Amino acid sequence: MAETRHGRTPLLATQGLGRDFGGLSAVRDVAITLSPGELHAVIGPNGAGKSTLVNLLSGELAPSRGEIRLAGERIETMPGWRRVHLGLGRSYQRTNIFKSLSVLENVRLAAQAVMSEPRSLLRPAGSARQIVAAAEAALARVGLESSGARTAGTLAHGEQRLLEIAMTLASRPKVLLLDEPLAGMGPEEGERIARLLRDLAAEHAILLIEHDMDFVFQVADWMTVMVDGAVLAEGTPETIRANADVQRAYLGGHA
Amino acid sequence: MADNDTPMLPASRAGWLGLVVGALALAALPYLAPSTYYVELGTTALIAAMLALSLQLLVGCTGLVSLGHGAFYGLAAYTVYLVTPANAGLPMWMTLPAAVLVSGAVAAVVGALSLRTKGFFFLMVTLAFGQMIFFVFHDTKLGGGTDGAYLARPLISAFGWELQLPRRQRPIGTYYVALIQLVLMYIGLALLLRSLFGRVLQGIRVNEHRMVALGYDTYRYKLAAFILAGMLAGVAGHMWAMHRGFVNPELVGWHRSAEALLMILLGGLYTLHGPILGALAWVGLGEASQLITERKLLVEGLVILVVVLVLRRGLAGLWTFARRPAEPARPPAGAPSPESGTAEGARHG
Amino acid sequence: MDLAGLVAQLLNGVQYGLLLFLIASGLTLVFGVMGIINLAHGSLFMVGAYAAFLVGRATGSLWLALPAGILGGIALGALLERGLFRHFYKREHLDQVLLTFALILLFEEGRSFLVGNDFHSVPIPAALDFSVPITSDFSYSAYRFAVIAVCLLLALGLFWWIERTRFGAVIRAAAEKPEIVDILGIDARLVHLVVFAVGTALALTAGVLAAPLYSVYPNMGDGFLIISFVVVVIGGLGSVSGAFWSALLIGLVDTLGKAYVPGVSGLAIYVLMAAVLLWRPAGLFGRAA
Repeated sequence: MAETRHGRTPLLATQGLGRDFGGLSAVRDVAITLSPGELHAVIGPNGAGKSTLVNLLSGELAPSRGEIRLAGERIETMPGWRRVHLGLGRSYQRTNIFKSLSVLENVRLAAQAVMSEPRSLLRPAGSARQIVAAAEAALARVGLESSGARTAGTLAHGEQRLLEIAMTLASRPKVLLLDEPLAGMGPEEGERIARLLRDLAAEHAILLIEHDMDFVFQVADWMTVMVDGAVLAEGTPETIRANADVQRAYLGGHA
Repeated sequence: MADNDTPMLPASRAGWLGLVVGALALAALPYLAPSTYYVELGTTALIAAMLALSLQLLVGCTGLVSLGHGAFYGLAAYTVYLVTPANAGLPMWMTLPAAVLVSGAVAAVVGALSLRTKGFFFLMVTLAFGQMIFFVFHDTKLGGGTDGAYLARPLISAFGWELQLPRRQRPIGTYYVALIQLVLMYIGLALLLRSLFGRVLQGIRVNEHRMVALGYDTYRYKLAAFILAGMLAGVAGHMWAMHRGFVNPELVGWHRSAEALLMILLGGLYTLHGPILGALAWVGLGEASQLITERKLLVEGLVILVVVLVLRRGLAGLWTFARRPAEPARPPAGAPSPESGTAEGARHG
Repeated sequence: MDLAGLVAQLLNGVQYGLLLFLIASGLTLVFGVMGIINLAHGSLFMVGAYAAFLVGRATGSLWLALPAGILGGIALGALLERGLFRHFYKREHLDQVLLTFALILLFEEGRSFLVGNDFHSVPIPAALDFSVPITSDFSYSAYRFAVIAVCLLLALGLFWWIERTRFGAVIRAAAEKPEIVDILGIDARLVHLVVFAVGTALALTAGVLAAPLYSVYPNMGDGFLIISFVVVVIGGLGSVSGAFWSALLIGLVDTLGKAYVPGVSGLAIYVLMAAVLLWRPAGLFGRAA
């Protein structure tokens, strides 16, 4: 099952993964792998099943069949919240932050989830210094360190997307599932995120869903193309670009 | 840490000072009241405040709107009745833990089942469970049936020392016991809200979906809050037994639960002290309206309409009216959809 | 075991269940389409029952009460929706709970003012005041048969309306995705008005039918309201067919329980609800979360 690219065992791997909704198969027999240090992009037209795939991986949807392994351990029946503690983090396409709380609190909650222990739950939140420090570090990583005290809902859209990523980072994931991080962003903000992602790819494995083709070809090490719920092709960006099937089904001559 | 990280607690020294002044005013009441009737009325109001405060842990802090909370209150009062022998009151240090334990245990069972649902379902399920408990006391002889029963009041006691007051002063003693419990309850909840656990509850209220995605087993946290709230309602119910020495099925009726919700809304959903204000106002209003008309339900109904339609931030909101911070609309408590920028409730006061 | 008695209790259970269905279907429709929790739904049931009582007392006959209940229900529902409820749709649950609770209090006060607080029995219409012989030693109340018949007719009518007519299709769509109504260019306000009016009429009709069986008394709506909530929880939110089967189930469990295991039988339906919640939190026919 496991494709070992770069000679390393995959951090995240699926086999025969499928999900049906009534009579419709949104995801069919998907085998996808993610290796450490890899920035793996999943692309495909609308309705290809990419979002469903992310939801299956993060645990928000249960698969109809198939396996998901995280660092070798089967997780497809594990509740979503528990997967976070095994090192799986995800960000959302539609900004899913705590709008009425401060920016710092948003990230602090993310850090607390993986850092706090049951017996210290009654400590005042302000005095749990390591958690606050981890939150501040995550904010600094995405460049929002000076916005900590602001109410999250007052941030500009681009900054909110960065906050999304900061929250995902604060839970110290090994694997990052990023669902359209660029959604609704202009070109310079996109540049900022591209730099950030390349930076993050060094220490994390990233599975990226994106529509922006230029962006994807720029940052990805590996690509998977999905059409109609199934994997059409996978390979390096150059291979994908040259692939005739992909050109026909999706790229429509852009390559 | 930013100012608005625990918005339910006073944001400034002035705010805390206001609360202290309020507590002192309550402490002075027995000396200012024209007769014992008003002291007893005050105790009733303090008990209502404790019930409302206990429910606020669920509604305002965690976003769980329960219509069965009154059942834990009444259950505690009945527990006192059931453990007390026929003609002698037991000391408080025996009856209070018993009442709180029973309320907590039943809350654990009800919560474990109800929290498998959300929103409207949760509301109806808690209502149904509350009704079940009502049925137990209404249709059986367990607690004296529909007529209720008298009980020997628990004695004010602690650490082997018992407070024995002459008959005329007993209401004052009871009043202070209630006040002390209320103050301790507020302080305890304030500390809880500032703790790591309290932040999780807040996160659940604001966006439970994201909390799950961040790695929190929100069910467990909500259940803990539910049990704690049930136990605190038990403290209030126990105090009722001490105060009136009488139990009847109305104590566990769902109208009691709805009134508790109302007191929260009246006083202010967005602060911890709001429900206390709401309870005091509600009891006061009930008294005042009796001077005007016998049609109590009419007055209550109209008051509720006015409060919900007009008084968005409750009585507590009137205080902070002048210095409202520029924050975006608060997401609705108990609304089915998570905070994702689409359906924000109409509650921006 | 007394077979005749069992059959009688089964029929009683069906009759009770069908009345519950009339009430619960209104509840689940209104919530499914408009997202409103209407605690005052039980009060509407009470209004119907008292209407039957008053009509019977004034005209000496109960026959007028049924059409009066249906038409009055439609009118009252339209009035309530237009005047009050349409402003509540976007409100949080807490507001809706308290607002409709206030309505209960106002309805109770209104009843107290108009009719007083006494318990009144309502005589069965003379034409139906007999027993239908089934076997040589078993006969069953004709009125109860009539109630079963009317309820079934209404249930069938409701199903036909929802499943077979265009308006019904709109209702079904709106229950799934409220935005659809606007997209399809249909006036959402009309849909809301009709759904609310129908729900109200069903509750009132149930009250009219129930009056001779249960009599009228203060707070009579409470018990039926809460049981119909249980029906909706077990049947699944927004599912009228779910409400039908779960209402029958509850009607039977409750009636048979009270007849054969008195004492704790009232708990039976709550135990049932707990069991359903453990197994299927979205209800038996509800959409799985």
